Amino acid sequence: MRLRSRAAAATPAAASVAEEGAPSARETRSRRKPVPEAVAPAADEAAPAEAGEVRPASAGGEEGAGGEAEQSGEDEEGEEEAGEEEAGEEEGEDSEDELEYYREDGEEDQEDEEDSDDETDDEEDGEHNDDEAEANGEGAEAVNEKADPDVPHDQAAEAETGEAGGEEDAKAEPETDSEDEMPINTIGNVPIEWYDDFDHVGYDLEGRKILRGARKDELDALIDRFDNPDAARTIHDYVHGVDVVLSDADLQLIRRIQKRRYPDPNMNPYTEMVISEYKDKMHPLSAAPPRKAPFVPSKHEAKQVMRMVMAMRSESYQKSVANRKKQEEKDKPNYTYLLWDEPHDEKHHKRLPAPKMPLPGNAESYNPPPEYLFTPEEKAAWDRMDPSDRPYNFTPQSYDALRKVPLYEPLIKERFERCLDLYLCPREQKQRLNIDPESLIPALPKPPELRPYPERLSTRFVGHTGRVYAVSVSPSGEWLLSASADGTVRLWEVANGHCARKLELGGEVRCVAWCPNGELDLAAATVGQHMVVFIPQSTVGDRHDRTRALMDAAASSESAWARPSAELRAQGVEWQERCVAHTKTATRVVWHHKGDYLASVAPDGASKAVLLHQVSKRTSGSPFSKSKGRIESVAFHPTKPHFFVATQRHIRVYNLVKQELLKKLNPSVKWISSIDVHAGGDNVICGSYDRRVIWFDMDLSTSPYKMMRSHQLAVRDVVYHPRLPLFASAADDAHIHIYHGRVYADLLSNPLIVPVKILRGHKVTDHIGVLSIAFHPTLPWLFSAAADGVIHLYTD
Amino acid sequence: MGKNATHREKKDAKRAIKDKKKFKNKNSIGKAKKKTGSAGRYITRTQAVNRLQVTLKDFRRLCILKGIYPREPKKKFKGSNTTYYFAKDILFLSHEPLLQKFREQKAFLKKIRRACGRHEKKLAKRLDARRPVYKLDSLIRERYPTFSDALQDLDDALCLTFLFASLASSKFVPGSRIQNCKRLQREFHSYVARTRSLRKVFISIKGIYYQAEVGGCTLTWVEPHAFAQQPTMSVDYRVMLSFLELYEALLTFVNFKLYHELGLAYPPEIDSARDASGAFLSAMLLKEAEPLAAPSLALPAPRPMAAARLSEAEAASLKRKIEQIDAAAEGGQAEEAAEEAREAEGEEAAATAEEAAMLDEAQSPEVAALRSLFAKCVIFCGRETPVASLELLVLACGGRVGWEGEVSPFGAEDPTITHQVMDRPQIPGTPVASREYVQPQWVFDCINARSLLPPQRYKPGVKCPAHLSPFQDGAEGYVPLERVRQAMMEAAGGGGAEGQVQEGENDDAEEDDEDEDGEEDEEDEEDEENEDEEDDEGEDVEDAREYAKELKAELAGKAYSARKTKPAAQAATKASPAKEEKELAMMMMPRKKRRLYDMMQHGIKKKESAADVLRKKRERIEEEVSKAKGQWRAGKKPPKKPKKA
Repeated sequence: MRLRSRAAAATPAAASVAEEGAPSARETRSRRKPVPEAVAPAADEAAPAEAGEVRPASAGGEEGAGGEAEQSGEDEEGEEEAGEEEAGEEEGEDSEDELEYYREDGEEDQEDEEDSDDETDDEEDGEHNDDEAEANGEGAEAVNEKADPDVPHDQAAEAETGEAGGEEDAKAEPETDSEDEMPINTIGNVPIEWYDDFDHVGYDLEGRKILRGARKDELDALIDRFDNPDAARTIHDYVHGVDVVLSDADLQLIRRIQKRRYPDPNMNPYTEMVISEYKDKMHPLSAAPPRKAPFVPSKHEAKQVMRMVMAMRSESYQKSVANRKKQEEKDKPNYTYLLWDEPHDEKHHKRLPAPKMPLPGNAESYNPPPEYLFTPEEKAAWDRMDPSDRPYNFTPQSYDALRKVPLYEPLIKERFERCLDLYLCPREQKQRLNIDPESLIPALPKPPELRPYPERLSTRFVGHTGRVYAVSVSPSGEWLLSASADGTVRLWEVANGHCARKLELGGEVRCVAWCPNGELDLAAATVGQHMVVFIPQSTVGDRHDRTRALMDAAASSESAWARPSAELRAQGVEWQERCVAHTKTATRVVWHHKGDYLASVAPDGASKAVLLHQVSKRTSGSPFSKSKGRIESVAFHPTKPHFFVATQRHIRVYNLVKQELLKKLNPSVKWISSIDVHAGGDNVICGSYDRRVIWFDMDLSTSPYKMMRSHQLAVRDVVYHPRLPLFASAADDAHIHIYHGRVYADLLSNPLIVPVKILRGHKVTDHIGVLSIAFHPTLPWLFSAAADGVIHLYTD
Repeated sequence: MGKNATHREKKDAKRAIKDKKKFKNKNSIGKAKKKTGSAGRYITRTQAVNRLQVTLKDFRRLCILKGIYPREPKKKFKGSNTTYYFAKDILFLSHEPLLQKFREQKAFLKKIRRACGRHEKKLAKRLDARRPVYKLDSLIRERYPTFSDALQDLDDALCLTFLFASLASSKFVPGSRIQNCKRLQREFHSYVARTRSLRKVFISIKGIYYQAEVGGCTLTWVEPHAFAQQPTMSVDYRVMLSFLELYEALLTFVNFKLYHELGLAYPPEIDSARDASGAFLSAMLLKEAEPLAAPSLALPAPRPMAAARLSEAEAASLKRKIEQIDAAAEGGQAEEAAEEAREAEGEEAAATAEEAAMLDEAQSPEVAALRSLFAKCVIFCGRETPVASLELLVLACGGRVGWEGEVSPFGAEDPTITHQVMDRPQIPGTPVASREYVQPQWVFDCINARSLLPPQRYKPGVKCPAHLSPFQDGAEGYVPLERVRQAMMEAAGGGGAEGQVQEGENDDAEEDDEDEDGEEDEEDEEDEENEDEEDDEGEDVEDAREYAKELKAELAGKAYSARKTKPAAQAATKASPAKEEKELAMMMMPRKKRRLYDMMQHGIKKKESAADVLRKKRERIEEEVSKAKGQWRAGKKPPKKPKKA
């Protein structure tokens, strides 16, 4: 009854398992049977019929055991049940405690049954994950649960077989599997009905008869059903003719099978996948054990080997081998003789030998000094580097012992690349420059040998509040004039740096120049668009008188000059060329060496960029009707009536008398800043804003004799010493370079240029350094004016 | 009609174009114009292949065998990505008899293939017997007119052949070739060992480098570590095998010549029993060319007649070198300047320096010392060591060598053994008192140092001192501290091997006393002892130090002077005018020269900065080590030993 009802309850469980998606084929097959029962009213309590009668339905009786057991229980009437039960009891006596055990269980079962009748399924709890519990209101599950912890697992496994080895179960606990599998009855697969008429049901292994248990009639069975508490779990084993009391484990097993679950409660169908065997393959194609064939020597192969052995023993084969050997010997070239015996007189092709491979350094050692190994940062940098940029083609490594050094696999690749180099790389003989880098530096006379030259800063003339644009030394060398952006011209005493006078000319003074005529006391300056002529020293004396006389003399009729304003006159300014003034700011004024003529330059002035003035006549005029470009600077030839005009790119030399162009010097610079002419008149230096100082020897050519790229920034001014073989250049890097520039009298020797000193006294202000320099007329002294408003005097 | 006329016109125009094309490269009388300039002198590879009527594969092989390499014309008339050859080279190739052989071979292969395709087995066999073969002897004679030419170009041959000797046979490289390479290797090694011409050795991570002086030529080659190299697919074996073909022939000729000079029979027989049980060089039965002689095992025979001849050749070549160097010295300026220049311009100068070094070696007794370095040693090699290599090293320095094997001249228990080379963490069993246990590096370092180094630092299980390359002595502008120390030690010990041996013995005695203390302790003791000695000896050591410093300066060249910053700082006031003078003089440098100068300075600086990185790194490491040592000392026995670091 219970079983059946449970079976009915099991159906939805089975369905649920099916839903879970892990029913085996076997289970699906057996599922069909219980379905009609499930439909039929399952529990008939009145019928105390026992479910448990197992018949060996088929040879493969294990399959669907649950279902079949159930069916047989239904089909068969429990006629012999009582007797069987007794037999079961009798047999069960030899292990009493076992029986006790079962009995207790049975009692519990019954109690449970009763409980379950009245109550709803209180005992049902969350222990069962399946939803099967909802369907059956019985407490059968409780049995299951209670039995679970007690019953050992091997018993559960035991019950798997269709024979439901209850006998063994009752007899003894520890059994082996083989015993379990082997039926004691050896009659085999014959209908058991054949033994119905006998006392025995078959024979055991020794051939002894197996006696059947006492036969029960229906009455006995009925009585037994009421008396025997185990009646509900007793089934009749037809094969052995005995009643078997099913243990809890058996029941549980049967129940699990009925529910289409795995018979073993400990079975975990969702084990973790083990992939260790198939690391290289994603999914094993088959888990089949290896074939036997590979382990068995092949007959076919043996035959073939035998055939080969026979063939090799044969005479013809031996002969052929000998022949082949002979052939190989013949084919193999003989290189064992003296090749280089007699001298080789043939003309041979001369080729460049391939350069040898570089020899290994310390870094390649298997145990290098620790500094050759990479730090983590270096390693990272190394990995980032392109392989072709790396200094070596290997990574330095250190090994404790020689035995730990592994094979260097890229060696074969390296050798291959060498082979490629040998036949694929063009070879070329290149002369390596085998010289001392110091030998490239020209051997020049030592500067101390070329003294005197300005070496040290001796006086600073401080007072100007703006940039000092120009300095000029008096012909006597005692006085210094400076022109500044603060609108003043100052007169300094060279000996002590004292500012003797300050003239305010009412505008930015770009240039000032002392008249080279020592007889006069006169100077010229440019203020804005004008040039003014003034008497710098307001002292009385011969020179002053002479100058005053000159200045006061009547101007010629063409005079274009004007008297300046009263304030300026008060300061000693005598004349101001006014009418033919520049139209743009004049930046430079240059005296002719005789002191009568002077030229002023206004670079942006187009055709009026250069004006020539005569002091005695107080006339002005523009020598050029048409400008040849932006005129930067001009200079008079010291002896000849030649006039040098430096435009942006070229220096043109004009003959003022003949009014013609004599020469055009090409310094090949971008922007000339200043020029100066040597006292001899044949050499010119020129400074440029593109950092060059160029020396022209006009006897040689119109292209530079020497170009010096020593300055870091634009060259502002260049100047020759009037007497000594010196010249200097000043630049925006606030450096003044002093050169020894000797010009020889004979035409054969070229000028000697030796840099002797770099003067670094000035400061750079607003990116402008030294603006103007001037040499003392007789001494090797140099005055320099800078953008910071300070004038320096450097002496030897 | 009109249609016809237009047709004719078209035809005429076409013909005119054709004629124009036809006469494009011809002069007025229809002769082909002679090409001038690069187009006349050079030829592209495609043109060359077409002209020679060979496949590219064969052309490549021909170029390899004949030693033809591409050229770089000034004007690349067919684009910059094309390979150009000398037209004359190609003309030279076209007269090569090998070309005909190649063609024959091609035809032969065709025939064989045809016969096979038709299943005409007999025909194929008959054809196979007439396989065209060629010899490379004339070609080698042509490429290397004299023996010394061949020796000069032998480095690549040795490297490639010995690499193949270590390859595993595969479908790319047949086993027979590998066997042949092995044979050649062994023959060459045997020659080097017999003539004791090995000069330098170096264990690199790539393999073991050897340098030997053969016939007045310095040969350097590398042999991979003793593993079977598995052939990789990243290389083209056809190219390598073409080279190998040439090099095998060359090496055979060279070996024959070398053996002939020694008066030995070639090819030498190999004792198969010995060979099978691991003897490498000792398995060779070197026989006199005519009369029979005993096996040459470790035969430190007096120099035979042929060797004397060899020395003559050596002397001649050395003379030549001396002349060269003298000329160079005359041409150069002061010695210092010359040295600096050498440093600056690198390779070639390095080569000359090396030559000079070689010259020194030959003149000095160093080589003699090296030749009999292991004369008093009986060295036994464990089976975990590179026995073949050690055998060569020991035999080439006049020692006796044994190994673990049946045919070894002496067994492991032989009482005469002085050194046992082993590469294990510890000595198995009880160590024998009469012998030194050393790691293989000891043998290599001894050869490079030309003296027997104290074996204490090479004990099994101890990390050996750094193994330095003997090939580049401060050529990179940096001399590792180890080499400086070594120079100092040599200077202190009078440079003799005996002094060092004695020192070693002293150490030994001490070690016996305090064996339990562990290795670190030992090292420490050693160091301290050294320091003590220095303190005691005072002046002598001072002199020695001076000398060592000078040596160091010599080694380091300019890098050393850069290192000597302190004295320079002292002389700063004095030096500044000179510096200014230089600056002034540089102002007058023409642009071309200045650029050159700047480039040179850049190179020098780069080298120096690289050396500086190494120097700084080493200093840091030394500091760390000394700090650790100090801590260790302080922790262990603070009162007894005051800190010296």
